[in-house]
Amino acid sequence: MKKQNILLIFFIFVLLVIWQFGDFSFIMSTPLDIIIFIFNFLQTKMFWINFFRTFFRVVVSCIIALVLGIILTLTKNTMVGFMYKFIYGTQFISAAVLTILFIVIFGLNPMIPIWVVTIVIIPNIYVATEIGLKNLRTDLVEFGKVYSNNKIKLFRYIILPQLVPYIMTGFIRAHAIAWKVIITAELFVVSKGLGYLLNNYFRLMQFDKLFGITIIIVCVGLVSDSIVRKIKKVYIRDYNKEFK
Amino acid sequence: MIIIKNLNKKYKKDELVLKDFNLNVKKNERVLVKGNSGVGKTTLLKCIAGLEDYDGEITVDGSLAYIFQENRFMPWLTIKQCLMLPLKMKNMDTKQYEDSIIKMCKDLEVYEHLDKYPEEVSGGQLQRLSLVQGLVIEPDYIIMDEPLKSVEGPLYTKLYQYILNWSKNNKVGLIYVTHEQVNEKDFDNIINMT
Repeated sequence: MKKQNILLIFFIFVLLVIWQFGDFSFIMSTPLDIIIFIFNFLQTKMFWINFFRTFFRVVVSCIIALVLGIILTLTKNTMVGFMYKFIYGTQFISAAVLTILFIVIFGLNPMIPIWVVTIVIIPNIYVATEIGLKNLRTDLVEFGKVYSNNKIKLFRYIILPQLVPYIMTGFIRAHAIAWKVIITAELFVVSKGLGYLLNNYFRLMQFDKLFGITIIIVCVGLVSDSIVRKIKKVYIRDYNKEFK
Repeated sequence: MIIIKNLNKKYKKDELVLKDFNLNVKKNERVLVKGNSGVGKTTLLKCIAGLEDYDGEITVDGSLAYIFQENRFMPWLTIKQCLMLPLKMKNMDTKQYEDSIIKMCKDLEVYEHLDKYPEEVSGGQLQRLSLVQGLVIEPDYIIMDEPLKSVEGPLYTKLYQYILNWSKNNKVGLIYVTHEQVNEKDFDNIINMT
């Protein structure tokens, strides 16, 4: 693993060297220019305002998708089941098209990025939860039923602990997609957010800033991803604490 | 009392596993259910526990514990947590029963495994721990499906006596299902399923 990391750093270094010393100045800025921009940009209020807008939208979308995804899975054999089939179909529409469709229908509503991200990532949660349900150990569920008819308790103590690893795996994937989709949706609709900034700098042909923000988005996505993975580990570890 | 009246159970193939089955089990009564594999012994217990749909009438007047043929320990919980799970499910105070769990585990020589996870404990030890898991809620009735399947020799005799004594001392109704040879005199009622 360490060797892979060394190779990765070496590979990125080689790319940066080619980029820095190759003659690309007529189309884009050098890595040094971009690093300087990132350093300065991180110290501005504008960055943090836009970053928190995007971050807020990702968090809200992920939470809504998580809750709705689980509910849709658990109710798939009821009347509500048709809703999932509707949303499932939308996953084959690109985020850009979905955003445009929403703009056509609802106008330039600042909530559109949240709706788009939620709809795009729900199937990840749904599919993961569904696999979890299919792999439920029925013998353990039987055990629970002997001691309680309370469905909430059965879910809390027997079913949910079995589903959590699946849901969290789906959530990690959904969260990564959310970062991709939010930028696309923000390009079109809002007047604040990292996607809006990207769009703005693209129009102004300021490529150093365009690259700089892209790199920031990648870094934020990686940090956010590692936080979600950490939450998964801590949650699974602490799940049993109440028994102690 | 457990009252079973005209119990009929059939599976999808329309094959009648239980036909007009009747049984009454009083508290402090020990019932042995014998029979070869596939005659419906486990199905009977599952019907009593409400785990299977059936035609007929089953009344269980009191709390019930079920010792399954295979252990039912949650892999994500330690043994101690697994033993407390029936208490949690029944809204009982786990702290109040902690001493009785420890005592039973010491009696059955599995005390040192309480903080381990099920995968770290042998099949025979899990079988003994399954007994504790069922007995800990101090049920009015206990139904056991081949509870000593993976136990042999002196340990078998010890556990067998432990179950019978526990049932007598605590005045608990026992339905003991097995296809092994046991001393029929230890039971108040013997049901031969064919």
